[in-house]
Amino acid sequence: MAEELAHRILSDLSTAFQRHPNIDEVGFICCPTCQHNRSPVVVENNKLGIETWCLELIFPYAHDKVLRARSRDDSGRKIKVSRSARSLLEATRAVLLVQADCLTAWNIRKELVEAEDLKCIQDLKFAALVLTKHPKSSETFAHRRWLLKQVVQKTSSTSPQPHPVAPASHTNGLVAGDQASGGATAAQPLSAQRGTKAELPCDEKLLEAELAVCQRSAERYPSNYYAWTHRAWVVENVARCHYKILMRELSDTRHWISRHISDHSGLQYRQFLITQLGTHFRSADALQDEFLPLLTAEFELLTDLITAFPGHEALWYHRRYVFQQWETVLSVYKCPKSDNSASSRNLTHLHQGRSDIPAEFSRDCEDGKPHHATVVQGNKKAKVDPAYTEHLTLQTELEFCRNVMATCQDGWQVRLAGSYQHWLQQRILGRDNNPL
Amino acid sequence: MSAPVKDVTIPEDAPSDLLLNKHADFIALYGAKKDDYEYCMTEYLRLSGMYWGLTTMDLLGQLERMDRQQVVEFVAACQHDCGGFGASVGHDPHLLYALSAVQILTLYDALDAVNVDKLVEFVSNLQQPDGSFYGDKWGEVDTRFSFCAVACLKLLGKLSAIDVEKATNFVLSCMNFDGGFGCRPGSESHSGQIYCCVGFLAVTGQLHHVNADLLGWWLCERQLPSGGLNGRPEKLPDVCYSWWVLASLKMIGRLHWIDKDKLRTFILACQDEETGGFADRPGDMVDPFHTLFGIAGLSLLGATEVKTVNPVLCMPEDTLRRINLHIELLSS
Repeated sequence: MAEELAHRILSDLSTAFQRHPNIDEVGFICCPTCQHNRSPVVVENNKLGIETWCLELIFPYAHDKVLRARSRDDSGRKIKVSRSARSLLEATRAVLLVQADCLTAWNIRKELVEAEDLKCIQDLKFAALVLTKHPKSSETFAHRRWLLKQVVQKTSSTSPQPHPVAPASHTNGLVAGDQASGGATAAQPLSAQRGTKAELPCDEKLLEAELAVCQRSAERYPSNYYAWTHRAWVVENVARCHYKILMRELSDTRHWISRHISDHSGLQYRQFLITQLGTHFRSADALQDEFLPLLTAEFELLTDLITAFPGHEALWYHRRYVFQQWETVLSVYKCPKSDNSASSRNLTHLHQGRSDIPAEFSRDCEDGKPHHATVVQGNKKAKVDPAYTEHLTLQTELEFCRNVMATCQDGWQVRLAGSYQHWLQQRILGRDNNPL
Repeated sequence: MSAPVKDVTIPEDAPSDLLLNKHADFIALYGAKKDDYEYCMTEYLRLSGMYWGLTTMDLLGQLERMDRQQVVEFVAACQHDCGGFGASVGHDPHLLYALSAVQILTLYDALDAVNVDKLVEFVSNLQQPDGSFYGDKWGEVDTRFSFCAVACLKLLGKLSAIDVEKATNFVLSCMNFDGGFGCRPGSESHSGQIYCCVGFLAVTGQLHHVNADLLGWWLCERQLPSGGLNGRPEKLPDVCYSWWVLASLKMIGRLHWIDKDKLRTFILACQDEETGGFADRPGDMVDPFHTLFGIAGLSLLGATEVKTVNPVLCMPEDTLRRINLHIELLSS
């Protein structure tokens, strides 16, 4: 009886997806008991609602169907169960809408993709729907990465890539074909991407859609580790850390961060972007003229936000990152140009984790001229103020802390300023490290 | 304009004594009810759930209340031909559950119930040329899997089955400027990932790579006014993060840097006096996961009513002594 009802509700669910192919959000309607003689599956304006009373029926039913596809006999051998792709799609869909971390259900869908019973793009859409209900499901993001790898692999094998850049060294060969494309283009300077003509190494629509999924998940759950680490993965493995994308992401998330000041994961994503951007500036001149203004803008943004919104640890932590980047770049540019060994040591430190950057950095930019570019931050163009460069030192940072501690009424803000001060001292002066 | 600190207030009537027997009852009962919806919903992580429950019972000195034979048979049934373990019978194999299986079988001294050679093969086959580990054949990479691989092999006495140097280099490539570690190179530092990476370095005898003062300071900053620890900046305190931070501090010899009394008060306040068990925060619903990490945390803080826990493998020290497994930690 219960099984019959579960079967019927599962059919209702399938009908809903057939009739409304553009369902873009799912939610559970709190309704502990069945109160009306109507289906617990409702769709309005492409929003799918499932009444909670039926979950206890459909989940075990669908779960059982999924597991039967994985049954083994007494000796542990897999029994081949003949199941139609459609039935497996329906069962895994019901399981994953309720329990998004069931990795076996996602794996069955991977097998359906491999058997060409399911298209990658279709499943990316379904996984995006799952994230509207389970925005921090790590298995859902992992499944998306697998799907994206299939799409990227297919694209790169069917159409010649317009000068794909060497992938960041730490992508672990995640995208099949990395080695080949990276190896063939290793001579292509990263800095060449900074020209406006360099084409994106990926399908822009795919990239946009994926970044939008990350953004929505980040909105639904604050400091969403999985959404932001996935976004970084996408920039690395789909956009191949293209200069234009890195700059656009930096600009786009600036606005977002100003409205989510306690989101440390969002701020850390900016750290990822800035670190990756640093690898595009390979000469001391480029670092000074292009990278320093970018760090200056980040300092200014942080000073504004820390002052306007006291007591946010995430902002103070981000400042630590910007300071250590600043310090590293400054140590490069302060080196006499003839002293290549000292500069390259520092550059190597700056580019840590990027072994594709040769330790011996190139003497100049790709066109042999120093760039005096400006950095676009939102609509504002900032040019580095040489005086600022000279004066922004450890002393000014310590002064900033002292000011906050002397003037701010907020006890937590004072404590955070004290922590930053301690961090600076510990980092630079190597004083007593014991916090007690 | 100032923002309230993201923290909890411990209610005055919150429990302040360890309700040892209540917790044992909670776990014993939890394992017994197998028909309900919640049990089905959590099947995808069953072996880990069993490890949490059984380790709790062992730390409380009441492991004999559980049905050894039934558990061992179940674990054996979760092994696949490839040597890996699924979370439950019929679920796909994954490194996460390989570690849980090995931990459970070690508690029960029952490794002979499964094919250990095949398991070692499963784990070593997941290592990649850059030293990282896939969680399963589908290719997801995460430092959690690096920990699972070496912890598993260490318990089996087969650490030499993998390239430890390459594995170490990958884990070190995930170290951030703040001294912490993330899931992949360049990923945000996260207490859970830090526990895995520091644990990895402890198992492989490479803790000297950690900047103990820098990381120790970051970990200490996780303590909030309530005494509880969070996992990342501006997150709420949580009993499980209290464990991961505490265990990491213990491994790098900096446990004395936090306020132990306040943390003990916070953990004890997360108990449910009626049902037994621990929740993530005072007043929330209890579960076996937070119950293990509550008990294990109290053990690290020196509670004498429970067995001493090993901070690297989260297993009773007496079990590890029995198999002659010793892991060197940094001294304070």
